[in-house]
Amino acid sequence: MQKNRWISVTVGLFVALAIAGLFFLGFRASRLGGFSPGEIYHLHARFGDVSGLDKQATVSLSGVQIGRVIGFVLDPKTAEAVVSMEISKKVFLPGDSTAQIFTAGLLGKKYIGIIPGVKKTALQEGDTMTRTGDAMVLEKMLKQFSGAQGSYYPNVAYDLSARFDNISGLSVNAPVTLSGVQIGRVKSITLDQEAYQAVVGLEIASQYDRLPRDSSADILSSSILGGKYIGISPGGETAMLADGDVFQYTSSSIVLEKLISRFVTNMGNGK
Amino acid sequence: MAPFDALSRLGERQIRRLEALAAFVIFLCRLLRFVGALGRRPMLSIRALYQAGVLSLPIIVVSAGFIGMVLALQAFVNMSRFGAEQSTSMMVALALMRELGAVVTALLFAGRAGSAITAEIGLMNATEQLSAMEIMGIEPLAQIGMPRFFGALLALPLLAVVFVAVAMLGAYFVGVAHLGLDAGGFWSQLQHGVGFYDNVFLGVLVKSFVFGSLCAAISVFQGFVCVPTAQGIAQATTRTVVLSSLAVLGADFLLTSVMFGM
Repeated sequence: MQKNRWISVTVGLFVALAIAGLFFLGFRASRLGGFSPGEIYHLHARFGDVSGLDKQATVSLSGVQIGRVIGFVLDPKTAEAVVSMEISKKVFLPGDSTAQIFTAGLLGKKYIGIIPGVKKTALQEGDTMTRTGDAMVLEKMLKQFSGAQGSYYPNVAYDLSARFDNISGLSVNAPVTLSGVQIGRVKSITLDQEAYQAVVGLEIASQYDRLPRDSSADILSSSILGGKYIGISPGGETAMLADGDVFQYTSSSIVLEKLISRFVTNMGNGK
Repeated sequence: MAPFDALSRLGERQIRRLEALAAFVIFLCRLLRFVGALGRRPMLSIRALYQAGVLSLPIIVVSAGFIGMVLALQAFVNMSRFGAEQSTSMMVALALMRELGAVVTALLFAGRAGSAITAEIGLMNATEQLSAMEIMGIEPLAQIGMPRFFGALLALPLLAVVFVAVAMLGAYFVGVAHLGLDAGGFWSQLQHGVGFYDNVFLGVLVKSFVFGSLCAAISVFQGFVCVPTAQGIAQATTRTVVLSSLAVLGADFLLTSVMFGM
């Protein structure tokens, strides 16, 4: 009987140890449960560029999560991205608040930070926030351009082409974006031996047929380590690009080595 | 007719393999009929849990400590090439919880406890204790088989949780005390990037439960069907370890592709 008691006690200890281990894993070494906002209301915000923002991305106020992104669509008339968010009902947001897209860390995820305004009236269910700040893209900081990435095959599409001096890093199927929302993909890449230029065939979904004729196609990268994509910056002409047209303005990919060597040579000249 | 003979030998071998698999499934069905016997004599299951679980603790804890430390070291050295050594803890945790924790525990368990179960039942078989029980009107599957099956089945998830927890502590020791990572960053990376349901519940608990049932069923089955000689017991214990390990690794691929595959 004494032996049985000893066995029961050690087995009890063993089970308790395993349960303690589970609590340790749950509360210390992992995230138990997610954000649950309780009662919610919906807000929309118009951004010029939502590059890198995902569905389910955090919406935060002063760094505390108050909601999440539930989807985004491109408004074809204004070429703006309209982001829908759900916000906890407990949070009061002044009517003139600003929504800004931030990045957590250098390679971290994008999130929307709300900067509260001063108005006494609150944002209501279904309101649209017009004061917004776009996502920062690496090239934007270097050259002031925009875009996003993903795999995307338009059902009904028309073809455009663009000529670049250098497309290093761009591959077939790379996304073509406008204001950070994908509107097509790269269909083909060929070399024009006469002009030593790369000719890139683009396939654009038919619903996005309002690209001004003087729009420019720029090769951008989605982060320091990310893949290359083509971002379209709309121009101002009233005539639109049609099937088979060629982009008049393009800008090639930035090759890090070239950029650095330019800095290095400039430094040499300065001395 | 030499090629014909070779062909028929190949066929015979295949049929014998299928027969063995069928015998295993039939045995399992017969065994599971005696689930009710667990409640009648709980002390038998507790003793089995003691032998399969508590006695396996030392090997599990020691290997978990070393595996955690090795993983942390490797993750740190390789991540620091990209300047991402702060993510060491997250990478170690994901590797441990999704794959290594359940699999390594199951492999160690098959070697430590599974072989012991087979050897014990096999020796009872060889010394005709099982036949004696039948003559006394006691069902050996209910008295010997079921408690050991249940004990092993329960022990593996518990051991896997202990394994992962100890390995995380080992990684903490190497990462924070030895390599100089920030202690707060170590835990906050985990709480930020490691989801409980995906990693701890599916990766550790569900996987190790499946592995536990495989190991337990194979070791009890091999014990009951072993050839009742000294050599037969030796072969049966070897087969337990080999078959359990293969079954665990195969099942792990299936489970991973269902849980984490796209």
